Order: sequence, then C-alpha cells, then structure tokens
Amino acid sequence: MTLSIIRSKPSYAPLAWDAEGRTHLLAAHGDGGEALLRLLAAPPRAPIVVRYASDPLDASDRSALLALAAPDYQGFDTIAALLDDLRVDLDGGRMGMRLYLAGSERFVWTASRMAAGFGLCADEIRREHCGSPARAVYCVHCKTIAPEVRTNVVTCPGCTRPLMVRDHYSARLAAYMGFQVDAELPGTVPAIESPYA
Amino acid sequence: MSAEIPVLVREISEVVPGVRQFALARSDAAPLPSYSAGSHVVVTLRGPDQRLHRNAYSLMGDPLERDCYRIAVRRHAQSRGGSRLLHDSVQAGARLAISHPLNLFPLARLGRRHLLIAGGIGVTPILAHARDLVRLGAPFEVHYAYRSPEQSAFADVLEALAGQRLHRYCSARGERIDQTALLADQPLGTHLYVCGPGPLIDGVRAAARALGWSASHIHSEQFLAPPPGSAFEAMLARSGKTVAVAPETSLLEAIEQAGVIAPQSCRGGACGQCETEVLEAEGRIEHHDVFLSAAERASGRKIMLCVSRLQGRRIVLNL
Repeated sequence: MTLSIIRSKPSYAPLAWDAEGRTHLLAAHGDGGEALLRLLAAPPRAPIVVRYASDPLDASDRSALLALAAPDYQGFDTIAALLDDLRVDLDGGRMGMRLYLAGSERFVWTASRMAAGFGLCADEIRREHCGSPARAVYCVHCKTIAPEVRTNVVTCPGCTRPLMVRDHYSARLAAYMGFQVDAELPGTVPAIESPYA
Repeated sequence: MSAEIPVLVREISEVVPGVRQFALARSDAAPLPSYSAGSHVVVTLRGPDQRLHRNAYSLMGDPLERDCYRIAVRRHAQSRGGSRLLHDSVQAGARLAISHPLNLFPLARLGRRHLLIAGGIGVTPILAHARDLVRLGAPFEVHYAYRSPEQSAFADVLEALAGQRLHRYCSARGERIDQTALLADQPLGTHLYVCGPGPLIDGVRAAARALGWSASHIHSEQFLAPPPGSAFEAMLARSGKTVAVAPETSLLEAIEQAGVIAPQSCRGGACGQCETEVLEAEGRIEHHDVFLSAAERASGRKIMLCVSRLQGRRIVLNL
C-alpha cells in the first residue's frame, strides 16, 4: 500500500477526553458506539451527553450498553434523526463544550460540518473513524455522491462514468473526489481492486 | 520589510483629557494602504535629542476610509518618550513616518458571535472591530471598562455603533467586569477579543481557559513598552559587533543604533518578528514579550529583541 501524499486525506486517533472541556457532547453511529463505550469507561467529572444511532447493518447494537454508561443518553434509529437532535444540542450549547464523533467517515464529517456551522473550531471537535473503510465518492462531473464504495474504480450512480477514487477528501462534502478514469484514453480502465473493503 | 510611509498629521483632537486622536494622511495625498479591523501601524518620530521613538498604535478609524488613518494616543506618565512626544511636540501639519498596517488582532469573520472586551485606551482596536461587526451584521457585545467617566474615551462612538449591546464599567464607581459570570454562559461558537492593560488581558484569558474556552476562540492584543533594566553587552555573532545596551535603551534599539538591521515589526513584544536565537548568555534573560511559549522561554535559546533584555553581563546572539 502506498502512502498518500494528499494532505486532505483525514487521519484519526482513538477518541480521548479533552481535559479542558467543561461539558462533553458525544455522538456516534453504528460501530462508533464501541469508541464511545471505551471513552465512557473512564469519564471526567463533567456533564456528558451521549447520542447514538444504531445501524441495522452492523453486527452489534451498542444502544443498551451506552444507555447504561451515560445518564444523559438518547438513541435513534437513523443518522438523520441523530443529526436533527445534534443540531438542537449544538444550538443550545455553551462555550466550553467539546464534541466527540465516532462512526463511519461520512457520519463524522457530516456532523463536523454541522458543528462548524455552529461556530465550533477544529480544536473543539475530536473524531474517530470506526467500522467499514468504504468511501463516499463525489463525482466531480455530475456531483452525485456514491455511498459505500469499496473499489478503486466505481461506476457513478448519477452519470455512469467510471470514476477513479482519489485520496483527495472534501470535509465540506464529506466525500472523496472521483473523476472519470478514462477521460483521456477512452476505455482504458485499470484493474479493479477492492482497497476499501 | 516594506518601506515606511511618510505621513502628515492632518488633525489632532483631544478626545478626553490625556487622550488625543491623530488623523494621519499621506504627504502626497494618495490613498493609504487598505487594512482590516484590528490592524496597527508603528509610528516613528524623532525626539529633540535625535533619538528615534517607534510605537505601535491600533488603527481605530473606518477601514473603508483610505484618505487617512486614525490613531488615539494616551499620554503615559512614565512614558519612555513616545506618547509624551506625540502629545507635547507634535502639531497639526507635522511630518511623521508610519509602517504599513499589520493585523495581529483580526476578527474571526466566520464566527457565530463576538464578545469584545476593552479596558481603557485598549478600546481603539475594539472600535474598529465593532464597526466591522455592524457591517457584517454579526451578533456581538462590547464590554468597556474605564477608570472614570472623564476617561471613557470613545464610549459615545461605541454607543452609536453598539447601542444596547454596549456594557460600561466605571471602576471609580466600583463597577467591575464579572469575568467568570460573563464567560460562563456564552453560546457555542462565540469568539472573545480582549485589549487593554496586562492584568485585564491575563485575567480574561485565564477565566476563559478555566471555563473551557478553546484557544481558537480567544484573541487578545497587547503592545508593551520596553521596560528598562540594567546595562549589559550584546555580541552579534554574525555581524561581528559588540553592542553596549544602556539601562533605558532596548536591545533592539541598541542593535539598530550600531547599524545592524534586525528583523522587527510591532516593537511591542506581540508579533514575533524579532525572535532571535541566543547562542550564549552570561546571566538571566528577562522575557517581557507575550509571544514566546513558557517552554521556549525556559529553553533560554530565544529572545525577543524589542522588549526583552539580559540581567547579567553578556549575551551572544545569532545576528
């Protein structure tokens, strides 16, 4: 595997408490629940709010364990419902809050973008990518986003162009860039591999 | 480093006793460089003893007004000469030189909300910020602390800009900013700006940090006058010169008087331009700047020439 020289490709570290925070808002999706459970094993003495959306596709649902680990817990069936609630939490939040996000890359960056809209800066948000390495891919031609891409080349669901999946990540779009792989030499498509399976 | 801009003092007005506003226009009447709210310029003037005085002043006018810059200067009783000279010897029509504007205290323009705190003459950059925030239509509040009603310079201007969003604190009446109460309950995404005397800045910064405010949301600016100390000797390793630094002269001034060009900009310990490597120090470095981190200070390998000095015999600099 070659190391990416593209700086926009996000890197992640396991979630850890920010001791300077006065309140902590934790949100996770699917396998991200595991990261929150690890975090909640040694909680700081400060108000902690936990929001979690289970994913029917994931092997284990952590909602029951999370509900036990955090007094202020709320579970959701979908990411959309979780994000709607997060918007309310952020809107009422006060300075001193820290946000912790865990789950699919698409989830943590969609939530990050929402948090940025409420004025949070990079030093107030921590993220951990959990679960599948599948990528959301943004077609630079027709602007469709293909979710859950596991291969190096994917057929765009919007315009059917074969897209090369790049390491170039857009935090704003919460997706990797994809461009037509055979634009210059039509029909020349590299061997299909599954680096993000 | 760009050349200085020759300017003419177009107008002087006494704002409150001890504070004067100077309107500076280019000698050739051309427009001045554009700047953003929070910027400052360094004003150079020559004293009767031919000594050069260089002090940083915030630009407090309207950035859209390019025909003149406005600065406000408080006459310091223990001034090294700069503010006293501006008050006592500079008349309308006088010629001065200023640096290009530099902004070490910009607004976080994408911020969701802004909390401005000013103490005394520290109100000058806050005026520019408030004017800009009114134009941006961004939510903001101003908290202005001053000693007495007679020393509430520009409170009327702030009032016109901020209206109900201006909160005044007059220490002669026993009014104080309750920093903890103010900072404990601010909406997420609020940016804090503080300018004024050192203790106010330190207090507000410490209160914000204790309440969990992240560094990216805390902004402050403070220009210091170089404090006097004892005499010492500075050896400039690359230039091969040895400079005697008198008690009342700053290290930077002594180096400049010896004809060596050192990097510099704000001359008040804030911008970081004059950071210089210390090769050797026989004595203790007196760090006065607000730029170096505690770890950098402790290392003894760095000094800010503009405000810091040596308590000892000799310092060797990589200059």
